[in-house]
This record gives sequence, structure tokens and C-alpha cells, in this order.
Amino acid sequence: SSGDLRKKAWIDVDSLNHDDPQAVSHYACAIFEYLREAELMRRANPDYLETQPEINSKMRSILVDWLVEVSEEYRMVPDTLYYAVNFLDRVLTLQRVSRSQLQLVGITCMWIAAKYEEIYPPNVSEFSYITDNTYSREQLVAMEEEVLRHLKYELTVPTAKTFLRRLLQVCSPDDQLHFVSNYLT
Amino acid sequence: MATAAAAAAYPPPRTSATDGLPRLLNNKYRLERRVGEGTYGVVYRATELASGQTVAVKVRGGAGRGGAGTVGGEMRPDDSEEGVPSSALREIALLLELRHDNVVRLREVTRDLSRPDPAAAAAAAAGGRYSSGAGGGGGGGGDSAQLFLVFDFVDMDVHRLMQLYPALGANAALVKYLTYQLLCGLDYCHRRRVLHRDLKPQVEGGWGVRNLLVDVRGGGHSLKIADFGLSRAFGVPVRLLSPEVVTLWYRPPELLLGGRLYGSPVDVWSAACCVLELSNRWPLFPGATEIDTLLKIFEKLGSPDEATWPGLADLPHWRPQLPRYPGRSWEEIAPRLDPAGRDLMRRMLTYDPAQRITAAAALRHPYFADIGPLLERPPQL
Repeated sequence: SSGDLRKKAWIDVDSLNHDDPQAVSHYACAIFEYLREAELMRRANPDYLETQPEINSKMRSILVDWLVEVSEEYRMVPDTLYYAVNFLDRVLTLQRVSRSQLQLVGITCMWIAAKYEEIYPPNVSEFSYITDNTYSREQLVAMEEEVLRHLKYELTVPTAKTFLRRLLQVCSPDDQLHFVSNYLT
Repeated sequence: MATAAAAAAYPPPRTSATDGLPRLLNNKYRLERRVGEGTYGVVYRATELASGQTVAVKVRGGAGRGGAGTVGGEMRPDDSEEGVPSSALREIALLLELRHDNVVRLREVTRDLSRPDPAAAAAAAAGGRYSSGAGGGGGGGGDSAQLFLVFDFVDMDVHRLMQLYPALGANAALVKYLTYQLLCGLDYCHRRRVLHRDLKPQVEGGWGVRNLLVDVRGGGHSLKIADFGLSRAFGVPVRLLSPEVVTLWYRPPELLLGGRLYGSPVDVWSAACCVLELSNRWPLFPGATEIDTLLKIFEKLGSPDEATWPGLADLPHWRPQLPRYPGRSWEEIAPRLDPAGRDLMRRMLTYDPAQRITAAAALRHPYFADIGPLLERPPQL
């Protein structure tokens, strides 16, 4: 029957990884059970752009593309970028932002994400510099406070990357699948 | 400049005052006295005015006082120009997710709301406001980068308990009870994919931020893991992390040997060091340097080799010519623990992190076979 089939098709990837501490195999199931719940608690409203009079989806995608470039320029880990976009969407869900402030909100989210995730985050001057000094360090510091207030300091969120890393671990892909799936998320 | 001169003229009031901080925080908390100071901030005892409850207020970030973070390695010096320090962002974001009897409870994070509006401050920021290095942020309504973390107040910790009750280690039931709670808290953190990375009973100079709190109210000894300043969330699988974590004496061999890929087993090692320090009333591996700590570990547990620890030879700081010790007996290492307790310590202090027991498995170890009655009726001193 299909039940039998499913049982057979199920490989316990964690039991294969018991000799690898990086796989944290003993905790993986409990962690992901929790993360799936946690994901639902701190999510942006998918329709938030309707509440933003000055911003449309085109602008958001230009901003996100630019953040991708920033993360490459400073060689940041992929998680930092995913965090930054999560923070950005959550802030935009809660706060009307003018067109001229959008990039400031974006780069500030990236700065917070870098401080949270990177071992050696770039400093505030580098984030100011990458905006062509459009925004000063003081503006970034002030915006950081506002962003953190909206996020209520809740930065520990699962992102698409969190789940993708796990899925790729489970299906042991070749390099091509690895890159394609990272690109799509 | 003027503030710096004033600070030099008047020595900082370390004993009684609240270091230039408002005695009344946001009309909500009354700061009373300083109770601890660590790498990452100063802790005050305070009262929540509305409820009359005693709370602990930890001041993070802001001018100078947060320390340079040499232990952390993952942050630049606490510099208000850099906004909220990364260790503070992590500590807050992680603690907000943790709700457990054996983890200290963060009640609130706030700024000093009496200071000027941040937007206005940014507009006026051309001056030296953000670059002031003076401690305690003088007048003008407080320091913009300062964060106040409000915790449940717990007035005892493992270190002080050991000082006050020299016979604590001989109280097998209480040691077991505290060990069980430590592992419960740790297991919970790991389930929430949080690494603590700085478990220790010691406090530098007896005046540090305390990591293992003990709530003795109501006659119990409820243990709370605290100080998540070095913590971070990990992914599955875990990626490269900073090697500069965990206070030296409690640092596991994979870190001392320069490993960059590590996970939840690091906390299990530190936890065992804490338990044996509690039981022996003496730190287990009090090394002066990294290599000294490593040799103290080898001397007690016996030197590792490729057979006991596959992959050992790949660790950057491993050298085959390191001294070889046979190790001591567990009766000698843990004289006050029963055989089950010694076996648990042996599993928690296993060299190979992959073979080291997890906190979850440790809770099911025979050492805790009789924990039920202890949980119902907590042991007394």
C-alpha cells in the first residue's frame, strides 16, 4: 500500500549524520518543528504595499536587488541578506515610508542583519559609504532605533534560507541544484 | 571636551550611585544599586514602581562602558557610533524567544524615553554627541545608544552559593538537582537552536555579570541560565562560527584546538565543567592560557588521539608532539559524585564532540533516575 511505500521512501537523514556535530542531528527535528511555528508568528503582511502610498512593488524589487549587490560587495553570508529582507518587509508592514527614506530603511535593515549574523560585520561608515553617502552615520543610527522599535527587537526569525539549508542537507543535491535553488529563494 | 575634563575632576561614584543614570527610568523603574558588571554591561537592582517587584536592569551599549568585547571576538568595541552592539542585538533577540523555568526571563527592553526624540537628535548630531567617550553619559537626558534590559531579579548565583556554603559540593541531592536544572535549560536552548557559548559559574573578580543564577525564594533552589551576551542562533547544518567564545576554563577542546565548526556540544562541555566545579569546589581546568588549559584537560582526562577522536589531526592547533598523559581515574576527578554521576561527567567531557552526550540524552541518564522526588520536594542546604 502507499503507506508502506512512504515508509520505505523515508530515509532518516539525521541518523546518518550522528557522527557529524555540525549536523546537530539529535536536535534537528525539534528545532524545525519549532521553526515552522515561529515562522507564522513574525511574518510580514504579503499585501503591505497596498498600504504604502509612495512605494510600489517595482521599487521594492529595485531595493532588494541593490541589497543583494551590497551583500556581495561586503562578502556577507547569505543569511544576512534574507534577514535584511525579512526586517524590511516587516517594517514596511507597520510603518508608512516615503520614497526618499526607502533606501535608508533598506540599508539600515541590512546593517542590523549584519550585526546580528556576521562574525565581522562591516561598520556603519561602510554602510553609509555604500549609499554614496546619501545617508549619514547619524541617520543610520537614528533609523536603527526606529527599525528595532517596529521589530520589537525580534530578530531571531526563520527565513527561507533557514529551511532551504535544511532541505538541501536532506536531499544531498549536486552543485547545480544547490545554486539554482539558492537563486530561486 | 568640557565633559571629559569634568569626568577627570570627579572620580566616578562606583559605590553607591547609579553612575549618572537617571534614578528613575521612564517613570517606571527606580534604579537602586549596582549589583554586577561584566564585559557587556552593568547590572542594577531596581524596583518596578507599579508592582513593587524587584527587577534587574542591565544597561547595554552606549558610551564606553560596555567594554571592548575582547571575549566576544564577534563584535567591534561597544561604540555608540556603531549603534546597538551586535552582542546586545543577539542577546535581546534570543532572550525574547526563550521562555523557560531555567532561563532568566527578559521582561522588557527600553531606551531612556526622557531623552530627546531620536530624529531630532540625528538632526542635531553634527556635534560631538555621538562620539563622546565618557562613561555614564552625562546630562542632557541620557545616552542615545543605551538600552535597558529589564529582567526578573534573582539575587543568588552558583558562585556566591558556593562561597556562602562551603559544604555545598557534599550535598549530593542539591548538586544533582542543580545539574538537572542546568541541563533542562540547556536542552531547551538547543531545541530553540540557541548556543549559549559562555556557561560558567565564575565571575571575574567576584564582580561580574552572573551566568548561573539561583532563585532561593520560597526555600527552593531554582537555577536560571543568564547572560546571553555571547549567544547566537545556529542553522542546520551549523556554519562557520567565531572561535573566540567561551571563557577559557570552560572552553571545550575542539575550540582550544582552533576548530571553527562547532555546535551544541560546546555548551555540554562547559556545563560539565560547571557541575564539577560545584561538586569539587575548585575549577576543573583553570588554565592561564589556551595551551595551559588544553594541557590541564589532557592531564586529567588523558591525551586524545585519532582513535578516540576521529578528525583530531585536522584541527588547526593540534600537534602530535603535544605531551601525552594517561589521564586520571574518575574517582579522582569527581570524588564526591556517585558512579552514575561520574559516568555522566565522562560522557559530557568526551573529547569528540560527535560522541559527546547531548543535553537531551543527559537528562535521561541513570544519574537522574531518582530525580522525581527531588523535583517534588527540592533539596535544602
